[in-house]
Amino acid sequence: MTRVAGLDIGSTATKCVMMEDGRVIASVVVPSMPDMRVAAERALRECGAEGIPVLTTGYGRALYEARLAQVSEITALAAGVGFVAPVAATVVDIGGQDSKVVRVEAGKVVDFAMNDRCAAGTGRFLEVMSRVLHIPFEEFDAVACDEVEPLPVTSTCTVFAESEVVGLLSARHPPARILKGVLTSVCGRVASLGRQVGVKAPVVATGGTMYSQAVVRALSNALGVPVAVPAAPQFVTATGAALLCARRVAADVAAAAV
Amino acid sequence: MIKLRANKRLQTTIRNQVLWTRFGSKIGRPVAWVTSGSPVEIVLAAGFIPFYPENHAAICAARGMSQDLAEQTEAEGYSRDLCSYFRVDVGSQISGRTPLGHLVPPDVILVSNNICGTVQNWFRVTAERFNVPLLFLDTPFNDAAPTEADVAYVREQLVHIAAEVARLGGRRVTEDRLSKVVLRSRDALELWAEVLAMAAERPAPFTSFDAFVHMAPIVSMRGTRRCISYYRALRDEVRERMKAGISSVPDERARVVWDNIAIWPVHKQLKKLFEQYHVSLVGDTYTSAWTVEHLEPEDPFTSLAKVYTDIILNHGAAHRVKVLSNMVRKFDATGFVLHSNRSCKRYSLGQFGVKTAVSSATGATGVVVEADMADPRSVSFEHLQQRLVPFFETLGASG
Ligand code: SF4
Repeated sequence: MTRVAGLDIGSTATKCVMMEDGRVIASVVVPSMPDMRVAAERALRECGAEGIPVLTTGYGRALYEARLAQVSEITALAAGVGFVAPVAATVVDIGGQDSKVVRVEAGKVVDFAMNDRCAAGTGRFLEVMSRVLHIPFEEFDAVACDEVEPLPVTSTCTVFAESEVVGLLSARHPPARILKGVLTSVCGRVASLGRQVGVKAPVVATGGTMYSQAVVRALSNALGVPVAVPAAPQFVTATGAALLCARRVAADVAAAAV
Repeated sequence: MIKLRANKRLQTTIRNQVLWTRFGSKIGRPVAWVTSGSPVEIVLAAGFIPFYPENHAAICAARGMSQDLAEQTEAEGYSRDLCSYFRVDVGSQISGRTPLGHLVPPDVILVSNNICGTVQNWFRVTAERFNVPLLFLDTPFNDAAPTEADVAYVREQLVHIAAEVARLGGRRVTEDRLSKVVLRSRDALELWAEVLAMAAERPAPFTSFDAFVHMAPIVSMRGTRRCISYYRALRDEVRERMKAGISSVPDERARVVWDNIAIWPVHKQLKKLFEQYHVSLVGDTYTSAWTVEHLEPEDPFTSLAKVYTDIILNHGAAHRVKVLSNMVRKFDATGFVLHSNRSCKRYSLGQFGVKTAVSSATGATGVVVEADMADPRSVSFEHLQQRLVPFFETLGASG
């Protein structure tokens, strides 16, 4: 009965997943800011995962010093998807600071593309627009429903897009249509990222943004294929980290036994 | 990590070259500024001392002077989107600041368009600044290999250039003199090729991080005896390491090849990152551009025409796919890095297509990283790490 934890210290949220014998037994999410180190400790404490082996991933992965090991988010994400959706061939993750498209096979990375240079096409873009439009993320689904026609919003640059949205608002366009345009823009950007590696079905989408059905729909439209979302899309990377941690512990035990 | 003894030697060699350029020009030897892809053998045979602005820009970048110099050029109205080697070198001309002490002004400038169009304008601007003649070599772009007509066309220009440099203060370039220089070039190129080829050994005794640094003499001194003795010593040292099984990175776990110029502003940091993940950078398309075959001392004009038309940047993407795929196989690599170099459009165009094609030809995994060879404002180490670490992990390497 070994317990292990995966800690995904992201730019916006820190996620912790605790596993025991190949099952997830607890998970928590806490805000990463203002201090990622504090957030890491808090997540572990609230998860009840203090004192057990921890493998870290995410932007702030090097900040938690008592870790067993660290891996990049891409590797952890692939491992996590291999666990929660083993049939997936492509994973799309829209995170707070970046977005990634990873081609996977049995929990391993085959190829990946990521956008980490520009806020367009990331969760940050949605955050900015949600603020400008005064529509909180939780209300996205109610506002950007199927009947609404999107207005075109540029996808090249968050700053340009923001002034564009302000312009559309002041021209008294309905916020619902603007929001739909924003979602189309973000997902269009992610879809073009996907073309770098080739999007192969089945496609799974992860990251906190996937709690919104409107985002998932826009993504699936942009990619031109259906997109499946696992039960806890925000925790997939942390789950992958926990799995890799379990594997590492097992390997260490085996090595010690020799 | 055992350092190469040649690192010291390189410094001395470069210093001596700088001193020789200065001294030579003082005693009346004419100076020619040339591009990295121009037939330097001709100006050498005419008794000129060559100077390489591109190489100079790389030295400025490696010494951390590039941003300052680039800004000088930008202040004159040149766009930041232009090649950073251009901006750095011209910035040095404007400000007079250079790690070499001072620049020795040209008597003539020789430019060829086999590497890009930017360099053509860069050297034209430079010729205007110094008010000296500009000799221009036009090399037709290759679909596959240079045709007979291409070679004849370039050869004719070379003969003309030889006559011009003689008229502009040099000696007469006889076939005999030219053959001797060509032979010396060939010897150095062969030694350099030998050095690079040893990275195919496991573990690699020498990596492209070393090659990027030790390429300086092959670029700027080929055709001279000192260049040959430099590479003979380097070859011997690398051979020694190879025989002793000395690895360039500790405990090599993965091998990758590189496309495009080095990222000078973070060269050392990047080298460390590779070491930390036990990844050997075993080959690259850049330093190996100076390993051309078919440089023949018989009929040197024709041979030079062929070789200088056939260089990698004068080819399209299909050729790059071939070169990279061969390299992946030859060096037994499982991955390759494509540096999308903001400065060098000619080198960076079409890399996503190249990535897919090389992957399907070789089964190796590719990654594209965005940076710039010399402008630190367009380089983010954080970004490079973000891309390279998952790439390394995919290849089975870990930190
Ligand atoms: S654009 Fe590229 S080939 Fe041309 S001078 Fe700059 S670095 Fe060299």
